[in-house]
Amino acid sequence: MLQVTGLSKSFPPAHRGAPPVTALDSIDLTVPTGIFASVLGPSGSGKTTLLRCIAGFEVPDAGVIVLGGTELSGPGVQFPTHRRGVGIVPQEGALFPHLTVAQNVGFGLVGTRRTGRRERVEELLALVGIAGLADRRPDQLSGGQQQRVALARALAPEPALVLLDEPFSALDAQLRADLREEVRELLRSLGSTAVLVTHDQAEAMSLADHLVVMRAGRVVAAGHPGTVYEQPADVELGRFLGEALVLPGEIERDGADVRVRCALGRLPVGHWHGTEGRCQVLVRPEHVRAGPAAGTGGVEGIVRARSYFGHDALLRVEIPGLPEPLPVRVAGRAPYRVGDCARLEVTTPVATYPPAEAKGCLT
Amino acid sequence: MTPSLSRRVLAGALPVLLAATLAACGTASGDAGEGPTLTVYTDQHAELISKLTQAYTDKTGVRFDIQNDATVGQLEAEGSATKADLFLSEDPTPVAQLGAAGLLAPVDKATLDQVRPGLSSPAGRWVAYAARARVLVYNPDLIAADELPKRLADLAEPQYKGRFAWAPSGAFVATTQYLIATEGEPATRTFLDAVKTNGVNELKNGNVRDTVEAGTHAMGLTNHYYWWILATEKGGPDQLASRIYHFPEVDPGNLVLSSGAGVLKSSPNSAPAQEFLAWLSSADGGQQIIAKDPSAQYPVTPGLASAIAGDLSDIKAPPFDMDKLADSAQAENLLKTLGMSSG
Amino acid sequence: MRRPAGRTAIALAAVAVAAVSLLPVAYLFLTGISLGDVVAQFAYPATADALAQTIGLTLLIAALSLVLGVGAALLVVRTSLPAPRLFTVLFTLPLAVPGFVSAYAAFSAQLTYAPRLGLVTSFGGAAVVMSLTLYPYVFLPSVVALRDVDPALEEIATCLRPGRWTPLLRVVLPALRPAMAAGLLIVVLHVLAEYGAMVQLGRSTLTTKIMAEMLDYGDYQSARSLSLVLMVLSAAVLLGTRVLTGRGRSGDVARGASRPPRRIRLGRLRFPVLVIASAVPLAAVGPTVFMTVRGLTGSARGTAVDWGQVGAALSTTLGYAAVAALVATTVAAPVAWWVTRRPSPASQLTERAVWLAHAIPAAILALALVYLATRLVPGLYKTWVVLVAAYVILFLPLAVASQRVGLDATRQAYDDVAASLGAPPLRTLLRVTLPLALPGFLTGALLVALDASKELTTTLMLVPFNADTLSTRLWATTNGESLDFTAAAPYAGMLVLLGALPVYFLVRATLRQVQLPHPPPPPRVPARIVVNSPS
Repeated sequence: MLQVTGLSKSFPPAHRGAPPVTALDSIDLTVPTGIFASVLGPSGSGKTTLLRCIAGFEVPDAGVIVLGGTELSGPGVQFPTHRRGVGIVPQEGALFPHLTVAQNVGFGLVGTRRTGRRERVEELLALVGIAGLADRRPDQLSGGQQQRVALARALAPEPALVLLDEPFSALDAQLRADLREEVRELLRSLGSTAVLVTHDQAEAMSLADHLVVMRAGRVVAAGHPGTVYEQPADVELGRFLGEALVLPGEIERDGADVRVRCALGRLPVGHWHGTEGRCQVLVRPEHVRAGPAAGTGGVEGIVRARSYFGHDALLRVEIPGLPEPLPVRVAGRAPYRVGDCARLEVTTPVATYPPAEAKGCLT
Repeated sequence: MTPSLSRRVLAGALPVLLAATLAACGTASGDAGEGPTLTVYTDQHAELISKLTQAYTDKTGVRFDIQNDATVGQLEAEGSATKADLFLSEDPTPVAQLGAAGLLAPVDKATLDQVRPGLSSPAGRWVAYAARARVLVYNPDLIAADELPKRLADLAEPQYKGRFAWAPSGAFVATTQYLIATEGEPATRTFLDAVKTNGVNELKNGNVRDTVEAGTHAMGLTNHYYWWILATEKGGPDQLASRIYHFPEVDPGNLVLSSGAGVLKSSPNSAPAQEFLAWLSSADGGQQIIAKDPSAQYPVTPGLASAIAGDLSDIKAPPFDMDKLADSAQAENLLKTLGMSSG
Repeated sequence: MRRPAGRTAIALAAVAVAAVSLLPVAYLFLTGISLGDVVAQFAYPATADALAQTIGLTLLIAALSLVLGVGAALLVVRTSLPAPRLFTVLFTLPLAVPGFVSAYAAFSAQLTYAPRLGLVTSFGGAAVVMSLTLYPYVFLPSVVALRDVDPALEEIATCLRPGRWTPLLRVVLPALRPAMAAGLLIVVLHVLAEYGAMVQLGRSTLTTKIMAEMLDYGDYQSARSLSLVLMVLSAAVLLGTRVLTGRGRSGDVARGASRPPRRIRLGRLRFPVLVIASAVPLAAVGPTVFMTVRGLTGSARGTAVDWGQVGAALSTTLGYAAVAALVATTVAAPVAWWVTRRPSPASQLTERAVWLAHAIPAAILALALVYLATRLVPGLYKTWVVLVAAYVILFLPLAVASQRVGLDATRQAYDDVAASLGAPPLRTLLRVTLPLALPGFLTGALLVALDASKELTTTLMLVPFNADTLSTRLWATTNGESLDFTAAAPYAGMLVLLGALPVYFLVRATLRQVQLPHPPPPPRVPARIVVNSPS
């Protein structure tokens, strides 16, 4: 189990006179053994610094890092990287260019006998699906193959924790999707504890058993990906995790039944922020069902834009009283064209948040 | 790059490096032998000094540590740590400066007496062991012998404009000092101005010789041995296109400058050092070697002539106290003001 | 906290190396120069003239070396020029010839064949002769950099802005900028400190003035004052090129799969280009080789060559050069590592400081070392130790510059990964960093060995008594002033042959360097991680 408590780290300013840059501000993080955790955050949120502190590349200013009961980093304690037992898969692999695939994978297998080492390398290469490439050089591999080698290399010494630093970002979309699926299954089958750092929310959510969202050096949400996505802690987080429309509304409460009145009608509330009166309403495209204009219920709008994805399509529908068009996901074959009328109905309870004072969300 | 390649390079290079390192460290100085070792600082032609010291070692067993291309600056920088016992200069200036700075012990009178008068330090600080003369070389294809100037001062005449080369060498500085001492600064300045206007600065004495020989210039001011060395190499004076010329009367253009040798006051080996000087300037010692040396310098004992360049007494040189060369500030200032320095 | 402690030790070592290499500069001040002394030098109009000539020559030679060096590199790497490997060796060959030797060879060739021309002793002629000996310093790094330019960038450039020269002007040359700056720095500092060749070519520069003060007038105070002027000029150059190279490396952007660079087909131009390409190395080393061969075989040869003496000088030269290369490589490493891995104002200033001694005329540097050695380590004066120290101080920048190129081929990410795989720092160094940086280290060592074996002025003053190197023997046969290619031929020939050996290895190291797979871009960590100082 990985336990990070109160971890802080700041860097000297880039220019003389500027304030120091706070990369990590009292971070707490717990990843139970065998769990795959994703740390999601925009660039500059401190997620990479967190990973580098865990790996021992950076020395934190404060806080404690404990892995499997051993304090790796804390007041007066600072394990050097090579004694931490932490495997790392860096961005773009960083394969040693002067070593073959087998030598790369075998790099961490010191102390193993030569024949045993070769067997273990073969086994690992088979595991990551590139058996037969043992004698290639890194520049003879495709990007995906390089990442597989990097993973095999990280797994070879059987680390207590695997750190993945945006390992899929340089790959093309299809390969990225396939590879991350594979990697998750592999790590899960080996029972590895892993922490993935990424700025790609789809990647983070599809892989994680446990999702951590970071912003400006702080953890702003942690938990099961579904919970974090459906009930984000604030509007900004909600927008960051996926496409969403935020619109003003007003809470109408009748005992336990909480509803919100807004431009899309009077909607049931799934996640209520707890106070009555004016509020913000977060609506996701998949919460809205589009029907023919002739129908009843919901509100009517005009399709202003349509993005076609094959399996589905995203409409942007202009609705009177809304500051911006509402994104709506429909089936790819649904016959909407720009200029068509559509009737929209919110089908899932929505989440509400306190009104944004500064933004002046009043209509 | 493959690791095996780099290993092969290393495997090949290491033995070479090791062997070379041993060789380098093995050539350190201080061969233990019988008799004292004298440390000679010199800016003379290295080959000549090597011959002279080798002959003396063969005769007496005294060994030498030789610092070639030595300068007064190096001695000054070394200060009291210097190992130098002797300084053998090529031009008189360095020994004159060392003498003036009080760094030289007086040379034995008997040694000084072996040498033609007027060539050594009048104060007895150093002894002459070789001499060179300032000369004019000319190319008969470009100028007839009867057109040549009769005096150095004639080069200021308009008919020589653009026809001669000169070089601001140490010997040229010495000539300037001589002129200042004998004719005064204003006259010297006028003359130098004319040289600058009429002549071409070829920067080095060797270049002066080469350009006259090649026909670039009709005449050139240089030292005698430059011409004689080239003549020897080409198989004799008649193999050269150019000729050597001494001014017919006593003239600054015939200035003779000594190579001087002195013993440093700080030397712990002054007795063997004085003995070496005595041999160096004796007619049956070092002078025999200098007389035969291809560097064509003049020996300085009476009656002995250079096998190549002839007898020093054939040159009508003006008398000159070469210790005056110790202070060159006036000449330096004049030459620099006129923009006539080398460099 | 081992890593920060290790870093601090390396930084301290680098600062110590820089401090030692600045000792000769300190000598100028120890012996007492006032600003008045410096100003007094400008009372003579010739001083300002020499300054102007120095700057003019430096600029012209820099420009010519740039054209020759980059042009030759383009021919070898980017055109269908036949036998590119052979031409790489040929283009590098001028490095094997000492500047004063090729200057005299050019001078005497002119005297022999065109006595009235006065070409090589003119301003332009001298600049050409000097450029022909110095351009390989631009050529070698340009070859490496050219092979590194991603062909995709050129293709994109062609699409965006059609035109035959667009890829060259908009993509290739800008990508060469760091290589050109590094090479130019070496060229410029060589020009500033050159004496023998300049005087032979009839040029009056600050350095020839400094030497004249010492040799003609024995005026060491003036020599030191002028050296200070030279030093200010060099410092300006050093800071100027820092501005030029201060930006990031060209490899900082993600690139596609590594493909061999596109070669321009010469077509009908093949023959004329071949002639021009052959003419450059021929003009650079031809006169020296010709005069040497003539000297060795000519009928005028009076005495037989003492090959025993030649052999002794050869092994001594080899020994000093080898030790200097080893020591320079060792002490350059912390400086190169610090400035490559922890770029900061402190590390960059330290690296620049190392260059300063490279720009002092060798005679002044030698005097400074005489002064310092007789006071600090009198027991070592006139032993090979002080001579090697002088070589190291003089040529350290060559090692640092090459090692930086080598270390650029490695990345912090490799070290990090190795550590995460359980490799302690020493194993990381031996298995990862050194193998990757080796070509750069090798190149640096060879350049140091090459320059050390050619060095004359410092060697004359500091060489142990009775020991000879090839260049001091060469000088001894010159009768003080002019090279005589009859007596000097065996030594000149040996020097060129000895120089050709490192040149061969240099070319191999260079070619090997460019065959490395393209390093993937560095991790997209925030910039602050790079500038992070050891805490």
